[in-house]
Amino acid sequence: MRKILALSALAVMLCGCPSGTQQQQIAAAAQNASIAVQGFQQVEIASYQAGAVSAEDHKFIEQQLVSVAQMGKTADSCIRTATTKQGTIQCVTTAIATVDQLNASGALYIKSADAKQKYQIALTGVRTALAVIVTIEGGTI
Amino acid sequence: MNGLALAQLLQLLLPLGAQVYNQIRAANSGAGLPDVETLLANADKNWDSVIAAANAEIAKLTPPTP
Repeated sequence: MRKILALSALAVMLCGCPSGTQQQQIAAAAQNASIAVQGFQQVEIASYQAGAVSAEDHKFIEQQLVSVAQMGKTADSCIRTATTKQGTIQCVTTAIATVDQLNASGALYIKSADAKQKYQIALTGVRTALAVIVTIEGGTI
Repeated sequence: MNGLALAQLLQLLLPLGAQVYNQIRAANSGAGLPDVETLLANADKNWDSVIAAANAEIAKLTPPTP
């Protein structure tokens, strides 16, 4: 299971620079982040159903995923309305800060070492997908 | 290892990993990317799906209020 998540994160990194206009590349990277989280969620729910994740950790992780998804929607909306490169970078930098915060809270709260690692790998995948956008716009994280 | 080789390896070894990889690969390849609004709308749709699934899981674990 850990391998699946690690490879999912790797997939984001490998596929994170699509062809197309710069704005299309940015939107595609935003879409990649959402696909990675969806993939992680499917794995996490299956792991819980298989008894590999405790109910307490499962509930916490799903609550965090709501926050991640809300962050994603906010970032998408921000990217839509940004009129400058700096504006887009700001949208993504804010989203990355939220991901980092959620990752840190997961490290503190999730009791199962396995679930914690899965969660951190998934959020690293999201962070990587978002960081691609900053790179496309010529910024640095 | 290039992307295609990795995708083939994932398909052999890890069905769900391959599924995620293929979804991302498909979203980034082909004759051309969809327009920006379509991509962002797809992303929003995915996020909504994550929220709905998460809320369903949370509801199962939350005792009903008396």
